[in-house]
Amino acid sequence: MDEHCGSAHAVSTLLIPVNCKSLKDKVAFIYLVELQTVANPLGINRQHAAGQAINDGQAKRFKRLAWPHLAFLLRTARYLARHEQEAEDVVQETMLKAMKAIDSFQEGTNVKAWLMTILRRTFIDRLRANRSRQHEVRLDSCDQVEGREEAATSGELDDRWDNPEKILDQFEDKDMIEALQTLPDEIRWTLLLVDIEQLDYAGAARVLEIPVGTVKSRAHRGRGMLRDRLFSKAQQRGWVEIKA
Amino acid sequence: MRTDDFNDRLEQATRARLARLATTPQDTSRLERQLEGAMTGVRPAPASRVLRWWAPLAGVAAVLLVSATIGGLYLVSNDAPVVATSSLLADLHHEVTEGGPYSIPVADVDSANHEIATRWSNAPALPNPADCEIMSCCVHEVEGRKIACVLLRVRGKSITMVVANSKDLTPVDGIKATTNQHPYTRYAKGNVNMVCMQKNGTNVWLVGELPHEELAQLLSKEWTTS
Repeated sequence: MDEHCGSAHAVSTLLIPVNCKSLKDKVAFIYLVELQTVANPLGINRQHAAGQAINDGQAKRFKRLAWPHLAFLLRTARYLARHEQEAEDVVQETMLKAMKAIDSFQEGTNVKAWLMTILRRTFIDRLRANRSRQHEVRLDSCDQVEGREEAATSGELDDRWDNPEKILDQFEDKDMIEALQTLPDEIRWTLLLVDIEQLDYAGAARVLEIPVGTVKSRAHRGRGMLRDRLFSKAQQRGWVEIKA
Repeated sequence: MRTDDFNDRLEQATRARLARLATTPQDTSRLERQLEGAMTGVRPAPASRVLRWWAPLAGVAAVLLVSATIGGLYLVSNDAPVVATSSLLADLHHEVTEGGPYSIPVADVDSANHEIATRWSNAPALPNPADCEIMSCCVHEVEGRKIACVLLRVRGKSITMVVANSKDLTPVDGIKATTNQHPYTRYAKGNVNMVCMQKNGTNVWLVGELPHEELAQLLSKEWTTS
């Protein structure tokens, strides 16, 4: 393992250092952590004796419960990450954390929401790690950006949409994703959970750890902000008239 | 004019368009392979008392073991076929339809076979899909594996046919379907559809903006008669 690739003793959660770039480094790092601690994604650390981490039963349970949601996690990560490699890395890290914490998952509850919680925390961990390494990180404050865009979502400008269904249908998925990726992180998370993955407001609130009312208002504002970006694209492409 | 009804309509239209993003197919094959390998590393055999006492030593041993496993997997995966993801096929389709510099104009499948054979001596024979006009062909390389691409015109639409040895290029684990008793795999990227049929060690994809069933029928007709 790279000598700069963090220390297993230095972490209390399974946060893989960003300088563990290769799969080998990550696996080795996880193994070292495994020898001391198993991290619960909900923040509770349990001491484990070496070698008692993952048994066959846990691995089978993980495969049955979490594995079918791999495509869903990858799609979500692709909408959130800055590039493809980051998306795959985050999902890989998420799945490994989920495997280790599979005993903490209660069957009958929403596995998608559970995985999404781990995915979100993994993203946050990476942002923090990046920030601590003084890399440039976009961590928009939701309120700041929402404040800037209040005019765009206040209602006045939405009169421009004569036939919203038709215009929105004209956009390809990549246009939608590009527009989503320009939104502040918390707004983007809200739209991903509520509108794309169709979690109910309560489920999304649990994942985001915010009140249900805040989820509702962010979803509403987010849609408005998204439409604003899409309308600009539609204008550039001549799909809508530019009104004086 | 702006009403609450219009606001609701606007919200519903936005939600509906966003919901459609959840149906975008995802190729998880590479990630699955990586995870399988990584899971091997985090499922250690029961450790001995010595390892428990000598954690740093156990760590080093684990690193070596995991590295060897990953190295082995890497070597094995180098022999594995390249997965023809929806992105790869869509990119190929756009390149072929735009007529890249290596595109050779041809009039029929025999000419295409001849042109491809001069560039790829062990190329599999090209099928001749029904009701298609053959426009051009070329040989591409994907991660060191050769593939033949043929531009077809079908009912005014440009269709790309990709032909490769099965051991070199394999489809993603998409939806399985059957047409005229021929099984095929279907997937898509945006409005570009792709179907893959296999015969005698050759994988053939048709890629374009026709519905999956129509693409599959073009191939199945040819393979029924040949």
